[in-house]
Amino acid sequence: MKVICDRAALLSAINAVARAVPSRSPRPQLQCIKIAAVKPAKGGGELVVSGTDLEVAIRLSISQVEVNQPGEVLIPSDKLRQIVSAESNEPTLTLEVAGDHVTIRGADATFKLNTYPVADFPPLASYAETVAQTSAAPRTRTNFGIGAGVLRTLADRTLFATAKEQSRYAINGVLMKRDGKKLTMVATDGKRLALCNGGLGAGSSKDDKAVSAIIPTKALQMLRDLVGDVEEPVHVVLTDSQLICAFGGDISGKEPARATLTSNLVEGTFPPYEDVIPKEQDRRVTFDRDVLRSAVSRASLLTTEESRAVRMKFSNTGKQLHLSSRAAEMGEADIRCDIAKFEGDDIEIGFNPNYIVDALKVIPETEVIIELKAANKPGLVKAGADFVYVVMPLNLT
Amino acid sequence: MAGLRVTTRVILHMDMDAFFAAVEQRDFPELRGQPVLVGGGRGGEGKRGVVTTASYEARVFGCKSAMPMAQARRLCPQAIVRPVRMGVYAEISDQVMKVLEEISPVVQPVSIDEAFVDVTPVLHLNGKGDEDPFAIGMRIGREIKQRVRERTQLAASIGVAGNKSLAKLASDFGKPDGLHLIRPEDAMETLGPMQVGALYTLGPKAAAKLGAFGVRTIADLRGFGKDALCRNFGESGEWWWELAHGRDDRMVEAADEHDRKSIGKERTFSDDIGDAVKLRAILLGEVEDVMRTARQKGMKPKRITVKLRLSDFRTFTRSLTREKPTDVTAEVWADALGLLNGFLGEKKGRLRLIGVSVSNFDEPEQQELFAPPAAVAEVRGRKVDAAADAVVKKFGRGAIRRGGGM
Repeated sequence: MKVICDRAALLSAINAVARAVPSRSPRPQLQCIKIAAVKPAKGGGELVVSGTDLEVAIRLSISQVEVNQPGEVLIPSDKLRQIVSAESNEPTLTLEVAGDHVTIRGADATFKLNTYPVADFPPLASYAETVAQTSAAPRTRTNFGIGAGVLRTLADRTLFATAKEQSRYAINGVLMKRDGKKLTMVATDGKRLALCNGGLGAGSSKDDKAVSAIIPTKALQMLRDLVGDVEEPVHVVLTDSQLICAFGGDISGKEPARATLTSNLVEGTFPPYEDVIPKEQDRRVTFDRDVLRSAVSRASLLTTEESRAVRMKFSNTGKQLHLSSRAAEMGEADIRCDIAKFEGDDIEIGFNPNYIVDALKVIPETEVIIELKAANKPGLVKAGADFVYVVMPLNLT
Repeated sequence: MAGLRVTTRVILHMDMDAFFAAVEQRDFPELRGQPVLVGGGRGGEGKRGVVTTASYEARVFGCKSAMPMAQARRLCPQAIVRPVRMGVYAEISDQVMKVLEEISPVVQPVSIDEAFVDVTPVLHLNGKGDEDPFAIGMRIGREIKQRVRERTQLAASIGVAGNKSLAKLASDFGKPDGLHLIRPEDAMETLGPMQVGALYTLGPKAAAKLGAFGVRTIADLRGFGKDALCRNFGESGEWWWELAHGRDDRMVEAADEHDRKSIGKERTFSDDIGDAVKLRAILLGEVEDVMRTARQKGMKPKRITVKLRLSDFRTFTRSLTREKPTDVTAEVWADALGLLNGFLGEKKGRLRLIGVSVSNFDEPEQQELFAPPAAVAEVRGRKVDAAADAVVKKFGRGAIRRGGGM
């Protein structure tokens, strides 16, 4: 293999792929990035960069490359990344494989790195290959097209509600549910739950039945970060055990995808989220998002790590929300904030202010609605038509 | 019991293989593959005292834990004797217990290297709804073994079953580095040929007494009959009868979140104190300190606990829960004094330690979205626990040992 590659393009591909490469592994081959140089008959060239921890795989295609000699190589990820990053003055780098090493050459530097046999790397199928293999077989449960921007919005508006602690007895994933022309994502850490809907795009199969799967949190974060151009189409396939997303390219595989992410699905059953979304809230309070966010953030200043509690008094007569907090050995806070619209009776309830602010951060709409029923019943935060957020209160005594 | 939802429970028992010896072999490569004895007397060069743990290489020679060190060295003169490094083991134990806590909230550590895990509440997270729960349990077991190995480079044996006793037996079966499942339908057959001593709380004295009746295996014990067992051993007999049939409803009891949060102070005296007036004065000082800290933290406790250690090292705690939380020293002092006076009225002797702690603080509590999984057969489990405790009364502490030492 011998290629001359645009350094910046190579570095950004390596950085994206390296997120899937495990930092520690009993198999050093897995701590490598695979680079394959392809030279199509019609000319030009393509460099395919991929990495995996056997849970998630990322595969990126670079076209800013001149392929002198096609081939493939397995290079330790950390060193490759350090070298390509450090050669910051070079517009291009030459990669040449001879025997069991690779030479990376700039104008005034030559690095010779040991490599691993490519056969030791798990085979990673491209999106087109996977679809070709599975679309006819029963393994494919559903496939659809979606705009990259929609995908990112769904991820942004749910990921924050996943459990922060690894494992524990929480679902470490986000539910993805395809139902007709709609895609829903749901995330929860057992204390709050975020749900967001988005519309599907072209290239979606016609399925009558809803199909859902749990995507690992880590994989969805990587998927989110692969989004560049919000208009770019993303082709998504859900099989019994995997999610495959291809950015760009076309569904037939004639045009290769710019980026492909493959992830194992989380085994297990998502909690019955529909049951916990309250339906009979009798108080409906409308706020300006920024006014509310500022008030809750300031009230949270006087809470502590051990006790994140803000008391919220919603008063209809004065059209005011009165927030108060108290931190031991520190002091107290008292904040008042205007309510735009109030339907229902006065109510007093306690919330973890972080849970409220987290949601307000991902809401683009300027108008936010809080719906309540009782001090010991869940609160509902709504904005626009697609976003629903349920948050459990704190028992105030 | 109406209203009790009967579900399949899946319980795991984890036991580190030759824990102390394995840690020594991990940290000192020259010990690997060698017979290693960990233990020895206080300050001695391992020549006195008893064996705490014998490596598998040393067990070949008949060396066992709790054996006098001198005897073990006669059995295996080439054994390398290592002193106990409890600090190191405790740290590794924390890492291992953390792995278990990542898997399920219901973890009951039994000792430094052994714990029960109830994975019933997390089955849905680890498998599909219609999947065999024990298959999911085995998968979780495999995951635990892998994580323990990754983080500590040590081997754990895991038993998977429908209750604590069977899970404990299963972990012994697979040793070392084992993963063994005893399904409820296989329990009778598996237990049958085992020695009666394998049953939890059935100690050597009771085994000897049963031996006199010609009862050696668990199958024999079933043949002996429930009535005969109860006649000779009372409640314990009834309990063994249940175990012999693979039934054990004891719960895996996770440490209570509330109990972990407490503020306390205790003092060991240089000379034991028998004078009640002096003891009260010391306790009052402790209460004042503790309540000062509580007020600084803005915490109002509901539970007050007094800890007392007699000169013979027997340790007692006396506690009460107030109706309303308080941060007033005088109120807590009145409670603590009542507890101390009650103790002094019932136990004679000088004290070498006195302490007080307050807990159960009045704090805003975050509510959960999803209801916790239903508790299973708790009432029966408590009854059985009570029976197990009765064994202590009947045969003394020495009669109690964990089952499975075949």
